[in-house]
Amino acid sequence: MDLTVKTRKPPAILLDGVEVTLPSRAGPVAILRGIDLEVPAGDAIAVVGPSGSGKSTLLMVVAGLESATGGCVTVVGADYATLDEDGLARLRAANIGIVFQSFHLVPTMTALENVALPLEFLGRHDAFATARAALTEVGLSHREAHFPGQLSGGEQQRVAIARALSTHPTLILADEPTGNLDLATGAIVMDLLFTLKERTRATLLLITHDRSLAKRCDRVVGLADGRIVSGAKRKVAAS
Amino acid sequence: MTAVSATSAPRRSTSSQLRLALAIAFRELRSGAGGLTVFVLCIALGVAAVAAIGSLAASFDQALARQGRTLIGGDLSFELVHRQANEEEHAALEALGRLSESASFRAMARSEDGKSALIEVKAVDDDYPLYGDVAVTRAEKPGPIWQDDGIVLVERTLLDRLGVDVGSKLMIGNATTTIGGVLGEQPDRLADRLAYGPKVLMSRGTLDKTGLVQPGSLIRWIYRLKLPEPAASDKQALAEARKDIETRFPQSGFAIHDWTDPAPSLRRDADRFTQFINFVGLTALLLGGIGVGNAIRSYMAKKRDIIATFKCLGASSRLVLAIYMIQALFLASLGIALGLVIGALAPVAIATIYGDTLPITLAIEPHPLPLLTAAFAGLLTMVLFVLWPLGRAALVSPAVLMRAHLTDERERSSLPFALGSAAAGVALFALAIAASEERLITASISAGIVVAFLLLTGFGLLVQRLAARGRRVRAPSLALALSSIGGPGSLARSIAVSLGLGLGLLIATALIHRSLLKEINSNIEVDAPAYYFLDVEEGDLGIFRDTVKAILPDAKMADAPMLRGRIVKVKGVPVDQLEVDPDARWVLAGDRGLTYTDEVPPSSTIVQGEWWPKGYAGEPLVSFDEGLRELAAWLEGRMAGRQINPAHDELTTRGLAV
Repeated sequence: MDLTVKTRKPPAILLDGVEVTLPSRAGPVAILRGIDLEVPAGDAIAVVGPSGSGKSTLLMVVAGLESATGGCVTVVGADYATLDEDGLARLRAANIGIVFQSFHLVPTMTALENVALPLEFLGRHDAFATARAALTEVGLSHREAHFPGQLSGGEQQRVAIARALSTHPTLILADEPTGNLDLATGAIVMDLLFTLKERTRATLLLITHDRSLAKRCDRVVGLADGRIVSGAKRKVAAS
Repeated sequence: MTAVSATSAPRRSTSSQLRLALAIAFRELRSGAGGLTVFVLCIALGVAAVAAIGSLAASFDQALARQGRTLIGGDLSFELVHRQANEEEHAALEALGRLSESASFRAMARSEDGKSALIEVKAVDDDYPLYGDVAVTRAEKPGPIWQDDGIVLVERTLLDRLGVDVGSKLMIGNATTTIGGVLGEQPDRLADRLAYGPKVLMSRGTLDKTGLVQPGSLIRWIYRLKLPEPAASDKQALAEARKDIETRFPQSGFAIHDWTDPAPSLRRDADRFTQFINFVGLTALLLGGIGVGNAIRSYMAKKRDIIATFKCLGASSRLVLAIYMIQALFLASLGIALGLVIGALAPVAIATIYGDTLPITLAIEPHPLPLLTAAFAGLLTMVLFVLWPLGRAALVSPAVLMRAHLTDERERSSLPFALGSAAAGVALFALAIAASEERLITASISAGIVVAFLLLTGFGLLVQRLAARGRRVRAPSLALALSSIGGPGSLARSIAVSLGLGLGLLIATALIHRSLLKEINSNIEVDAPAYYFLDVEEGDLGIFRDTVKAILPDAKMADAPMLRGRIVKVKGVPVDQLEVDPDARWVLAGDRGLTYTDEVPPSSTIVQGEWWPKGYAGEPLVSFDEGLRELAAWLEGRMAGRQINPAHDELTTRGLAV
């Protein structure tokens, strides 16, 4: 019996037979092999799987950082096949917030300037005011003039979250956001991420190794050897 | 099922993109340019070299143009050796404007206590100087004191040499004169630049009393002419006046100079020096450019993650390129400004350090054209070496943030940037040629540098490939070294080019230096004399020999009769109408030393023809240096200021001596 039902919400992510094969000296390496995935807008989805299973590549494809070598990628309604690199960049600026495991803050800019960057790329005149508000939301208003090197790991990740969410994206992509943090700090950061996700009603795609963290999402997709092995389609509780 | 509709960030206007790029560029630079100090210094080095050379050349040219009248002491100067202008010539010169006559020659001055020194006498008439002033210090009275009979002005070195002072007596020839003051700067000093002793200025009246003006005396008679305005400032009128004298007195032997080009030989020497030093400047600029390229590559490698972050956050490649191009332009501007300041100060530094030994006073104000050329050359060099690595870096895929092992091989084509760099290279090549007076030489040098650059790049590539092929060796340290040379990010090419061109420059300079020395040495016989003594009168020769033998008993001594002459025609064509090989021009440029003897001089060999027999009394015959074979083939000349008998005015070359 098919337990899936047609979702009422439109999909934020729609992957149809997505394949990624990269060239190497030893020959082509298939990283993603026919991924079908649909993530309704507003949902939180966790992607879990062993190292090398293709989790990060999946996130890169959704973010438009890596081109699919096969299949169709439609994210927030945009068909990636029709966009060039700058088109993808503009799409990311307006719709997608990315949180990296290694934070990737610009070391030569202050926390405030880092958060303001995507807003500036969008051409927002209130970039710094909005960035200041975003920093206040993550509890770092007192650190806005500090450079990343002057912040702790947890603080850096909170700045990265503020930066990812400052543009109020419809899609948040998080690649092991607690991977470089201790347990307590990681928990604080994830609480913050989920709180803000709920507040903005954004869709969340979370890449993680942490099963307990994954369980906080609406759905957990298991990936192995470039294929989805579990959670491909949304299951609805029998009730 | 409806998909969520995507919104896309609007395309920003160019001006708003530029404002944002400026803001981000300076925000990044605020915390330091991290390694780009080398970038600034390399640009500064190249620009300073080009600006300094250009400024020095311009300073020299401007000084010649500005000081032309004072350098030759008139609008026109006519120089004769051995003889005064005859009445007809004198009248013709006088008809053109105000005329001043002076005589310059070497003589001995003796003090009352018997000390003597070689001096350069300049005897002038009452119209001297036509332009400029004679600087006199410690004069016994104001005004042109040298016009007084029996009064001379002497340079300070003569006072020191003879142990005399102002007011002391000085014996010159038959005259006993009084030192009336110390002679400082005078106009027309270019005419007297080859001075063998301190200068002494006196009147014509005093000169007559010395009794040194004798037939055949080596005296340079200089006639300086001040034309009435507006002819004096009209270059055409100047040329016409010059042509008039040349046409009317073709056999006079006048060496004519005018204020527009007071020292052609000096200018020619300066031009040659500038040409040589320009080669060094061009190579310095190119080496600086390679340094700039290496610095920017290293800088952009460090910025790889930041660029990828920018792109992840929504920045376009064009915005990223603009950010780093602004940084490069800003730093290049700093380097260019630094280079221009150094270059502009070069004439000041040279004038300060070598002012006393330079024949003219350099024009030390900034010279806009060479500075502008240097700035433009610096900018083009920056674009040539920066655009490509910058463009490649701007094309970095944002995926490198998550796939750190992505290497250059996976980066997109940067052909437009390569073409942009090539265009900047061509523009730099064109600028170097356009800014040079010897365009063929500059083009050859530039082409040579480009060929050397390509060859060295090829060599670097070959080394890289060989290292990559042979890196699987057993010794770990060697394997690591070879991997580093042959692997991704290898510096083999840039090191090969930098080292190769740097060494090439050193070797080229050393070879030119060696070639010059060889040229000089080849002209010096092994037993070349240690000293030359000129103007020893025949009657004094015996005393001179005895004196030398008394001081140096073993000294070998040889003497030869000596007179001076000037070649005025070759194959019947006046020398000023000849197109002569630059290497032989000096032969025609002034007086040549001539000697006569019945026997072949001991140090000479006859390579063609035969020597005249002892006691020969036939038609005049001369022997020439082999290097001047062509010139010697037909020679028509005049000796010691006297026209040779028309029946024998064509001298036949009989021997070529080495």
